[in-house]
Amino acid sequence: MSEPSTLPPDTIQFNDRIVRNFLIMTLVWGIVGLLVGVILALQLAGMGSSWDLGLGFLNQEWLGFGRLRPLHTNAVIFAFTGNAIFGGVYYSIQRLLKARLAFGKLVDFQFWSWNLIIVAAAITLPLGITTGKEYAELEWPIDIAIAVSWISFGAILFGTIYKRRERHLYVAIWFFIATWVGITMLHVVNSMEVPASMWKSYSLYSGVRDALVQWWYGHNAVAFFLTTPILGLMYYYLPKAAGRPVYSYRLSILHFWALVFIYIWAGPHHLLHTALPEWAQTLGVTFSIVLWMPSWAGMLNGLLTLRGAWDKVRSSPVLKFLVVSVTFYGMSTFEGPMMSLRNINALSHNTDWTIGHVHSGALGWVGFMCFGMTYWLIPTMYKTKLWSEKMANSHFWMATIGIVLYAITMWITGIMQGSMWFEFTDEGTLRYQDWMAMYTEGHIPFFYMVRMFGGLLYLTGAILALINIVQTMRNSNGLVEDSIQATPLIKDTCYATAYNEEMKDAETPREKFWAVHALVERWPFLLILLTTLALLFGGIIEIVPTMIQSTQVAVPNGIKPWTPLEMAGRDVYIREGCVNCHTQMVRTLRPETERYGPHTRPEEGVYDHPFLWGSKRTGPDLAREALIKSSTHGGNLWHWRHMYDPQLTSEGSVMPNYAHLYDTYMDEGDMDSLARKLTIWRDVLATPYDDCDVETVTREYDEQATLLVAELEGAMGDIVDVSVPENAKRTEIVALLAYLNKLGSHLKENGDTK
Amino acid sequence: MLMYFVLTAMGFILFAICIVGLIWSIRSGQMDDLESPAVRMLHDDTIPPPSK
Ligand code: HEC
Repeated sequence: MSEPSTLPPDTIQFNDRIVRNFLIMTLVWGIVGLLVGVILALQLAGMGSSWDLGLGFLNQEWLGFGRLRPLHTNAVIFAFTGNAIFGGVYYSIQRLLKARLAFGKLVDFQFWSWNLIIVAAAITLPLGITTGKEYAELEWPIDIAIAVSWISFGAILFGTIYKRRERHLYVAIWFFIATWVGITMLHVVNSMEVPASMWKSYSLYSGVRDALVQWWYGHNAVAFFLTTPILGLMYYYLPKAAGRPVYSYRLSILHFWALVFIYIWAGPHHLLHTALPEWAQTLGVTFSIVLWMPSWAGMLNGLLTLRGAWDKVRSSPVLKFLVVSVTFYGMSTFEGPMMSLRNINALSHNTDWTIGHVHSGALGWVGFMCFGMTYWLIPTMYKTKLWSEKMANSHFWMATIGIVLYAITMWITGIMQGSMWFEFTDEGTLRYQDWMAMYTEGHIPFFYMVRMFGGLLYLTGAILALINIVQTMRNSNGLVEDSIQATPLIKDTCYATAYNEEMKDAETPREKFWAVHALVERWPFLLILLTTLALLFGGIIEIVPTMIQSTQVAVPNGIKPWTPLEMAGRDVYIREGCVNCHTQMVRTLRPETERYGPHTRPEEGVYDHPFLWGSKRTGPDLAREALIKSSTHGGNLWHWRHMYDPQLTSEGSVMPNYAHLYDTYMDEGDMDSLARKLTIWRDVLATPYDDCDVETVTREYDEQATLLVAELEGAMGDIVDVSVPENAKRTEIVALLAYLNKLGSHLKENGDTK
Repeated sequence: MLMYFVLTAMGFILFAICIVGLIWSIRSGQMDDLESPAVRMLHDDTIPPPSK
């Protein structure tokens, strides 16, 4: 790029309508996501199971916690935050780059596609259509749609950068570029799945590998979807709203580069004390600690921007939101590295503490930023004042009290859970053998009600925001799209001239190489495009051998592939989202091996496409269920009554009932698709099955199911509260029991149960 | 085991992209002036809408 231009300026009109549309959807989806969150909080506090408000009708299979939780996370992350990011990015880059958004039609397409994807999520997730991988639950057709919408976003971003009339790329833009590159890579790698039908796929990876990919994705999605774009927004909207430049521009540049270099290596801190090799865990912890520094530099940079202007903060709801947001950024980026210390993680992992941590990030940092930004943008774009400052202030206080209540209760319950799980008596046995005893003794339902109340406050605030924003728009003279005058940059306006220019004196191959190199360097977006392509290509090249390699995995002693019946049961487990409340990963810590049995080994997961380690223990770990609820400890009869109504066996349990599985039957069509699934597992996922034709599959299925039902009826005796239906062998519950009987059963056969 | 290498490779690729981006930004003069952009972004210089 070169000298300032002498060309006459021309007028550029911005596309602000699309910004408005994204912001409205931000608020709408925010309310949906938060509402679902409040319902989940009520369920965990016992509604619908141990007590009900006459809301028994809410006890629908599609409203079960396991199905609804992914809807909540997806709505908040991809719908609420996603729309806010797009709106905030599209407004700021037009101003920063002095250019109208590139590809007008594509911009509309991007808006509609993204929001339709969310509608698709809202329909499929409650139906139980899920991949079972946290934060990546959407099934493969939707994954493809996400990729298309995301690539459109990239085209718009880089297209606008290309036509810019301002040479310097303001730091916010760097954050947006990183967002696009990062998410593209993550989405592609983590969504490698093998479709078995239109709405069912299996992760290409299994067990520990899948866990590794998943948490590499999970961690970096936090980095590139909930951190970098929001920081970009911070560096634009905070100075704008305060009317003063960022405290130190240098520091912001440093913040950016430090973050993007470090973040990607911290992922393994999600898998401490697991079957992941020690060195990978140490790497993750080290980088997590290092991350603390740039994060705090960023926070201070944000807060110090307001030095000498704190009086403005008092009077402006916008600034209040932004200040609390940045404060929560500091809080969460301190808490995160702390939670990744091995000994703290031993306590905090799988507990509510993690839940509190993500909410400090998502509601505190991200949520406050999105609301603050919206309160600033809408009046600015509509050339008017906010309809009611008072209402915005009420929103601010509700949201602040809400999130503080949330974080505090989760610290309390989280630390309590962690310590109760680990508590030994003087005799050296676990003090809390009974899961529900921990709930009652720790008064957990009480704290869950407080948490629910915190969420309710936050939700109410969001509703106020929508009202306030709609009123602001209605009481204005309508949206006035801004125009500016800017002179085009004299730059490499056309590739051909630039090419000739660079190649002019290049003669030797070496000179030619550097000429091309110089050429590539002249266009940042071309450069990024090329590197991304290289990256994707490299990724695919590396993943294909892994896929083939799975044929060569030594099959560990006693671990057998899922039988047809177990496979059907496992699919039910995935569909019902049991993974959202149950882990299947006994960590290498004594209280865990004491409670559940031998710790999980890497090779155990060879047939676990996807892995089902989970991340939250609302109920106990199930990896050793075959040993825990063995035939001497109630066995299938216990499961049979428990799954029908958890209150029958475990009073006060917050587990949903699964009565619908008792009258859902596997018909011939289901057998067909089961056979097809097994064939795909054999042919693509290299699982050693012999015959996968429908007859064999059906025969094996019925044989195993008949045995299980016979055992169940034998054990029943005079306990008849949950009767065995006609043709029980084809009910889904029997398949699920077969799956539960399988978990950890290889240890029984090997005899090393302790 | 291969998965660790794949992910590490991904990490390094991202690392490489960052390095390239960093070098580009230095070489193309993005880092020459680290004072005025912070102030310039505050002024949008929008054309006042025609008064009715
Ligand atoms: C809302 C969270 C939640 C969901 C969703 C959930 N559970 Fe539970 N589960 C619990 C809790 C809490 C307990 C402990 C109390 C009890 O026994 O009910 C439990 C206990 C269990 C137990 C007994 C474990 C033991 O060793 O004592 C099994 C088995 C079980 N759940 C299976 C499942 C299956 C299968 C699903 C999915 C169909 C599922 N759960 C879904 C919360 C949940």
